[in-house]
Amino acid sequence: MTKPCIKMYNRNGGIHGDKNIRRAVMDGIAKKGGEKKDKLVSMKFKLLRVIIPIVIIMVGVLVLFSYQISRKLLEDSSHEMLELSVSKQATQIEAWLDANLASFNMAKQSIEAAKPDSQSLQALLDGYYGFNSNFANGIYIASQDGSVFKASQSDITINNPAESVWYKQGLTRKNMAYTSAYKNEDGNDVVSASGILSDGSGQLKVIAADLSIDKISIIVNSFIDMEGAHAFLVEKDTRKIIAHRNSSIISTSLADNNEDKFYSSVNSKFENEDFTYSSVEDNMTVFEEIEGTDWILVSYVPKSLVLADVNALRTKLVIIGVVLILVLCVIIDRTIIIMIRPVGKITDTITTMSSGDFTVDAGVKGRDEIALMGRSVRQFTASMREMLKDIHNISGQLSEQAWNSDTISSRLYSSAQTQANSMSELNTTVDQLSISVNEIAENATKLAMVVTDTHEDSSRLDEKMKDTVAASDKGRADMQKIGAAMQDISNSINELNIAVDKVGEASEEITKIVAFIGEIADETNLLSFNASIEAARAGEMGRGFAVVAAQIGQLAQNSTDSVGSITKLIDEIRVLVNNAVTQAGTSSRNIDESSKLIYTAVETFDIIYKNIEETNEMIAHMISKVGEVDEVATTVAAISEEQAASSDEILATSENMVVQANSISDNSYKVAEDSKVLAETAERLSKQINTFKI
Amino acid sequence: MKKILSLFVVFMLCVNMLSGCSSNSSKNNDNIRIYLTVSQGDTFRNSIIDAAKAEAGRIGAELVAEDAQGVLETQAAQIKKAAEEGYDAILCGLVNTDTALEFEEIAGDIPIIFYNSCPDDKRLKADKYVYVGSDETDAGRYQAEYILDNSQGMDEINVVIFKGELGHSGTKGRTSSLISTLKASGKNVNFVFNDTANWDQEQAKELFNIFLSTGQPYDFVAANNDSMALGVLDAYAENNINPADAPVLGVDATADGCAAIEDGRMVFTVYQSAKGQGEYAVKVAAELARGGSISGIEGATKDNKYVYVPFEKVTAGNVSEYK
Repeated sequence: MTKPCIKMYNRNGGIHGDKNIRRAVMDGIAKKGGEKKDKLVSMKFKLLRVIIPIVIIMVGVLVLFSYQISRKLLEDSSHEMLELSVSKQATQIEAWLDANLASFNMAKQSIEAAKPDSQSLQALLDGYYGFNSNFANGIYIASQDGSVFKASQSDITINNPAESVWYKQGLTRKNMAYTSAYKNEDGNDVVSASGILSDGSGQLKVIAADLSIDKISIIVNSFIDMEGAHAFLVEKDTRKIIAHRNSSIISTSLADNNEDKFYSSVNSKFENEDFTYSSVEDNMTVFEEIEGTDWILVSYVPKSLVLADVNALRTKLVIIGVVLILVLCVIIDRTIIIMIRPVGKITDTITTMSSGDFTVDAGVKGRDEIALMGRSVRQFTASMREMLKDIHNISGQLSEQAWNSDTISSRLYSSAQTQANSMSELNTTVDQLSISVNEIAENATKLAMVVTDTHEDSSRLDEKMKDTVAASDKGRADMQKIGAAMQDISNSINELNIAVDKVGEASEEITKIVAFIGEIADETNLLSFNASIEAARAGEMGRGFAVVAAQIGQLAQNSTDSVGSITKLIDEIRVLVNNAVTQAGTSSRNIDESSKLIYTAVETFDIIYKNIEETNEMIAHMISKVGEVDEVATTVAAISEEQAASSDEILATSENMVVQANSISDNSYKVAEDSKVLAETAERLSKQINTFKI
Repeated sequence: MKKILSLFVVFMLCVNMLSGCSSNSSKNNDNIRIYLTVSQGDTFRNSIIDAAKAEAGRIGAELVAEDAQGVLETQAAQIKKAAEEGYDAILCGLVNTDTALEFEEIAGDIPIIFYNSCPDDKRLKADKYVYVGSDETDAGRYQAEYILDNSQGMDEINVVIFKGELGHSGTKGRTSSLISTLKASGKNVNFVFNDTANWDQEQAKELFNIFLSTGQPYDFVAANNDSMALGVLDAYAENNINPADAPVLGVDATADGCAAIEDGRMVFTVYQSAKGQGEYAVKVAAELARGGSISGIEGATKDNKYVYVPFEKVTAGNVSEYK
C-alpha cells in the first residue's frame, strides 16, 4: 500500500483490522455504478492537464528561443549592414569631396603656375566657371587689399570678403581644405573650399569655391544602401546639421532640435564625443567621421523596421503554436477515449465486484496493457472467489475458537486474581515475619553487647580479685612478721629491763663510790687546810707548799664539785632510768596487748584471705561462664542478623511476586477482554464474508 | 562508465598538450624570420628599423628590411614576396593606411605587425594584426598642455599648427588631440594657421613664410614633428624672429630636435621612442610567430590589438637624457 494506513491496536497488541481495506470494501458495497463516467473524464482531464501545459511551455520556449536568436542575429546583421552602409556612404562622400578638392587644387595650381595679372586672372576664372558642376558659382578670389575676382558668369555676392568665413578660414592654410558650413552673403547654406593662393603677385590672396550644402545633402541621402535607413551630416564643432533629408533642419544645430528625443540624445553623444554604435531612442545609430573634414555622418535605422520581420515571424510562430496545441488537445481527447473503452468494461466488472458480487466474468480481447489488465482482473476475480470461500470457512472456525478463547481467558483471569490475592497475604505475613526477626536480631545484638561489656567488667574484677588476694596474702604475711616482731620487742624489753636493773645496780655502786670520793675529797680538803696552815706556819718556805696546798685544796674542791655534779647526774640518771623502767614496763604491757591484738589480726587476716580466695575462685568461674554466654550471645546475634536479612529478601521476593501476580492478573484481564473483542470481530468478519456472493 | 569517461578526458588532455607542445616547439626563436617594409625611410623610421634589427639579433631571429620608397604598389609586391617566401611575421609601415586590408589578404596566415602608421581599428585583429606604436593622441595632448601651462596670463591664444602627411595616423591623432585639448581648456584659442607640411623641414619653412605673409598674430607654433618644427625655426631665422616670442613645439625628439631644445630655439618636444617601437615591434612579431598572444607584453591594450610604447615629454630641463 502506498498510502500510510492507520492501524488500530487493541490492548494486547493485535491489529484490529486494516482500515483502508475495510473502507474500500464498504465503499464498493455502498456505491453502485454511475462513477464510470466520472472516472473517464477525470483521467482524460488529468492527462490533458499535465500534457497541455508542458506542451505549451515547450512550444513557448521554442518560439521564444528562436525569436530571441533570430532577433539577435537580425540585429547583429542589421548593425553590420548599417555600419557597412555608413562606411560606404562616408567613403563615397569623402571620395566626392576629395574629387572636388582635387579638381579645385588642379585649378589652383594652374593659376599659381600661370602667375596671371588681373586681366588674365579674370579670364582664367571665367574659363573655369562651370568646370565642375559642383562648384556652382565657380572659383573666386579675394585679395588682402579688398579686390575681388570672380567669374563673370557667376552671380555670387562678395562684398565683404575679409569678414567672410571662407576668407578667414582660407587664411589658415596653403593647401585647399573645406571650411565649416555657413550662410554666404547670398543667404545660401554653403561649404567652401579655400586656401591661400600664392600666385607670386606679392599680394596675399585667398582662393575659394562654394559647394552647396544641398548638393551634399542629396549625396548624403542618395548614397544610403540600407533599406529603411536614414543619414544626416553633423559638424562636430558647432553641432550644426549640414545635410538632412528634411531641409528645414539643415543649418540648425542638434540642440535646436531638442524637442525630438532622438536629436537630443544624439547631441549628448556628441557632447561626450562618444561615436560608438548605440541604440538611440530605439534606433540603431552609427557614427562615421568624414576624413578631411570636421563632419560626422550619422546613420540610423529604426529597430522596429529591422525587427519587423522577426516580430512577424514571432507572431506567426505563436499562432501556429496555439493551433498546434488545440489540435493536440483534440487528438489526445479522441485517442484517450478509444483507449479507455476497454477500461470501461473492466471498470464495470470491478464495480460489480466491489458491491460483493464475485460471480461476474469480464470478457477480454486484445494484447495491450489494458487487455492485460482485463485478464488480470479476471484472474483476480477467480482467485478472489476461491479465497473468499476459504476465508468464509476459516472465519467460521475463527469465530468458534475465539469464543473458546474467551471462556478460557476468563477462567485464566479469575485464577490469576486468586493467585494475586494469595500472594498479597503471603507478602503481609512475610512482612511481619521480617519485622519480628528484625526485632530479635536487634535484641540479640543488644544482648551480645551487654554480655561483652559484662565480660570485660568481670575480667577486670578477676584482676582486682587477684590483687586483693595477693594483698591479703601479703597482709597476712606481714601480720605474721609483726607478730614475730612483737615477740622480739617483748624480748628486747625484757632484756632492757634486765639492763636497767643492771644500770640501777651500777649506779648504786657509783653512788657508793662517789660517796667515798666525797669523803676523800673532804679529807683532802682538810688536808689542804692543814697543809695550808702548816704552810702558813712554814712561812716563806712553806709558800710553795702553800700553793700546793691551795691547789690541793682546789682540787679537793673541784672534786667535791665534781662529786656533787656526778651525784646530781647519777640522780638524774636514776630518775631517767626509773622512767625508763616504767616506760619499759608500760611498753611491755602494751606490747603484750598488742601481741594479742596482732594474733587476733593475724587470725582475722587468715580468714579474710581464705574468703578472698574463695571469692576469687567463684569470680573466675563466673567469668568463664560469662565468656561462654558472650560467645553464645554473639552467635545468636549473628544468626539473628542473617535471619533478618533473609527475611528481608523473602519480603522483597514476595513483594515482587505480588507485583507479578498483579501483572498476570491484569494481563489475563486484558486477554479476556481481547478475546472477547476477537470473538466479536470474528463474528463481524463472518457477517462481512456472507455479504459476498461466491 | 565513469572510468571510461575519465580515461577519455585524460586522453584528450594529453593529445591537446602534445599538439600544443608540438606547435610551440616548431617555433623557437632560432627559426623566426621576420620581414620589414618601411613606407619611406627618414631619420625617425630608420631609428625604428635599427632598433628592430638589434632586437631581432638579440633574440636570434632573422630580420630582412626593405624600403617601399613611398610607392604603394612596391609595398604590395613586397608583402606578396614575404608571403611567398614563408616569413613568420611581417612588420609593415604602411605607405597608405587604406591598403591594410589588402595586405592582410595577401599575407594570408602570416601575422602582420603595423608600426609607425596605424590602420583603421577595423583592420586590426587581436593577436593577428597588431599595431605597435605610440598613442598619437598623447603627443598632441602633451603639446597642448605645454601651451596651456605657458599661457597662464593670456586671454587669447593664437596657435599655428603644422600637420604631417594628411591621412597619416600620426597626423590625425596629434592634431585632433592638440585641438580638442586646447578647446576643452575653456580658453579663447584661435587656430590662425592649420596646414600640412608633409613631415618635411623645407616645406615647413616655405609654409611658414606664406603664413607670415598673412600677417596674423601668433603665440605658439606646434608642429606634428621635429623636422617641421625645425623648418619653422629656419623661417624664424630668415625673418629674424626670436623663438622666445613665439615658442615652437615639435614631436619625435630627434637628434636635431634635441639640439634645438638645447640651443633654446625649440621649447618642447615629445620623445617618441623609435628604439622602443622597433624593439617592441620585433618582440610582438616573435610572440605572434610562435602562435602566442601579446597580452603578456608591456603596453598591450586589453583588446590585444595594440602595443603602445609611451611618449615622453622633453623640455630644456631633461633634454640631456634624450640626446
